Amino acid sequence: MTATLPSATDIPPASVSSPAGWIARVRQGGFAYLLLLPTVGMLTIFTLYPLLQGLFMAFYKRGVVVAERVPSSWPKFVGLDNFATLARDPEFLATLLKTIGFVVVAVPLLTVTSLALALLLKPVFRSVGFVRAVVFFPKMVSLLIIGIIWKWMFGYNSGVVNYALSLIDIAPVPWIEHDVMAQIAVVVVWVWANAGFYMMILIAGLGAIPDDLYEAAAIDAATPWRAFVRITLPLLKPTLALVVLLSSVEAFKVYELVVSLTAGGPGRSTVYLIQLIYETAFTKPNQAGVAAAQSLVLFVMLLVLSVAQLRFQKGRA
Amino acid sequence: MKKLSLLSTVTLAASILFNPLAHASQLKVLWYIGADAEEQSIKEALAAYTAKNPETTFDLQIVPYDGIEQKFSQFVASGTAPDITKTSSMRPIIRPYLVDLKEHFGPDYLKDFVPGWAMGAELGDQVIAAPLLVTATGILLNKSAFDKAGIAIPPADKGWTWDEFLQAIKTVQEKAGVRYPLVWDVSASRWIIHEFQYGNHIYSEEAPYKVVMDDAKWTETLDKFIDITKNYMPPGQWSGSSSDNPKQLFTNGQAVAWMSGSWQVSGLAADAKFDWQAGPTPYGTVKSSIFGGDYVMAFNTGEHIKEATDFIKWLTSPEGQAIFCKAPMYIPANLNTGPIDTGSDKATAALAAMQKELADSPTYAATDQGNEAMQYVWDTIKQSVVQAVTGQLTSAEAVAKIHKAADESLEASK
Repeated sequence: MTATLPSATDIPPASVSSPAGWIARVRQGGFAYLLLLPTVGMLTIFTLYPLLQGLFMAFYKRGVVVAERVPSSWPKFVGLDNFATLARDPEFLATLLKTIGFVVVAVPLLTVTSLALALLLKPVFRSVGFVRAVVFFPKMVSLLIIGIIWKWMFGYNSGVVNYALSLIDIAPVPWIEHDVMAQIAVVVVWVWANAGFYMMILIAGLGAIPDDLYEAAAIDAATPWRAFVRITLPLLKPTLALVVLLSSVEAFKVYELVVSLTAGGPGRSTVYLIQLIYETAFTKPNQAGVAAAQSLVLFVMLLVLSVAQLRFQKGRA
Repeated sequence: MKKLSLLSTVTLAASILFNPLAHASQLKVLWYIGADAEEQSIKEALAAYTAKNPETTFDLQIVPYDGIEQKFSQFVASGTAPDITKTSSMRPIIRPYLVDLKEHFGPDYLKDFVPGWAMGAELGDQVIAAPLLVTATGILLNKSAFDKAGIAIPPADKGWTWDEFLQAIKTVQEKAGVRYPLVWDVSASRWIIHEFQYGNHIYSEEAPYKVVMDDAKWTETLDKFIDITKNYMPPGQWSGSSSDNPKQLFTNGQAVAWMSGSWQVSGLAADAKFDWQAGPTPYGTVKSSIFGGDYVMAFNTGEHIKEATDFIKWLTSPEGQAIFCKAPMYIPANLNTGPIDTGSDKATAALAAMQKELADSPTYAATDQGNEAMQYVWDTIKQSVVQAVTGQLTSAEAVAKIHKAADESLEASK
């Protein structure tokens, strides 16, 4: 048995907007709607409700947990006070800028690395499946674990990297103890952890480009670089746009990796927005509303980014 | 068949009625582990109590210390709090949900405990927790390295100033070929001992509490600490991001001295392959350790409050303390507990030396730590100090941040 949702064309146009039309539409596709119910229910409970709850929390002063016997944790409506607090908070503004800086540096680096890997591993050669799996592997490991592994590797006194350097008489390097080095380390490890996944997306994109175009370019004596610039890049743009969009969202949300790799240090130099939101909500008394306002700022930024990118993609198409 | 069924029912009913364990209470116990051998010791304590009181059994859940405060607040909000738990602080959100032990144990209950730590268990005229164990922060020394370098460690009653100590460990490092002179736990409470040793503290010693920080003196002392991190500790150790573990470095013989505390004694007794000793801890203008430790508390939302408080009374009695404190080599909070047989002369001597340093400490070494408002300052202290060490804040700015957090903490802890 196949159940399909009724399309608008199945119902006379005049009746679609009337209540009777809606009822007829639901009756006609009743079983299909029933099948959708669990998914919609889960989305409502685990996505929509928390989103709305977060939205409301941003307008209240309250604890992250509300305890019946502790009046100071009870929600009190404060209007836009939490947003005004953010606007005056130099740490929030600095962290926001630092997070944007991370995205601006890490996302292009990730895109270029993934593209390079995709170009290298797209051709079919012996053991290509194994090599692709090795490159993809970090994506299957929790970012928390990746951070811990790299923290051990970058250790000043006992790290593998400094040990290797010592074998060739190079002094140990403070990979995660120096603020600039630590920021570079976070970017490098984040790119390493994610490149395999985006490489697979780009390999799929490369596979959709017809070989005829390259054959024609070869007949015209185009160099590989020219073929890449004139054929590969233009036809890969939709896939690249998707990679940039998805990785930007991931980069804005960077948290587990940083916490386990540098714990936000040295000092506060690798504290990004999600860590600040966590600290505000869970380590400061009755600041959950401020944390919700911080989350809302991040949500709006991601929304604007997504819409802008989709529009750009649509315009190009 | 019917007769058989009837017989079974009667037998079952009789067994429920006459079984001494029919009314047994199973207490849910939430516990985090502070020293390697503590899991063994809490299990032994629970088993010993059940052996004496067969009607009380336990469902022990070992949990990580990180995030324990959030767990407590979620438990009380959702009505799923355990019967008993170990804790190092009682934040305002859980206080109305804790059993007032004074009602069960009488008004003089806390008189048997180390005064500085017992003070933290009081909330107005209530006693909301029972002191379980006491910790002392202090210096641990690689005695083998001192002997190899031919440098004498002064006796505890004489001690050494920070200048004398730093000079000595530098000499030992060079002569004995040890990698670093000093490692220091990256912890706010381990750091603040340095301020205490120059007479600086946060709150007044008696209620009504107020912040008594002298920012200029605090800044001067923080500058001294930053100098120590640069010249005596592994590079970046106090950056807040280092993966190097002070415990591993000292235990592996790569550091001459380690600023840590009494809870490390059992680990050193088991793992150190060199001769070591506790103290004397260096001083600035004041000889000071810092009180720390844990409490045990009962939630008033459970069904077994009487059984839970009976167990707490036993665990904090000399008998319970002797069992619980033995394996992890803890300092018992109950003053009537006799000397703990650690099975190691070196460990026993180390604990005695640290207890003596605690006893000789100024009052504020206990009252600052015991002040409930302090829970809202620890995070800021650590953040500010690592920022000052890494040059992201000046010392004066870091101290100003700590002062501001201290001012706000008094309001937040009400």
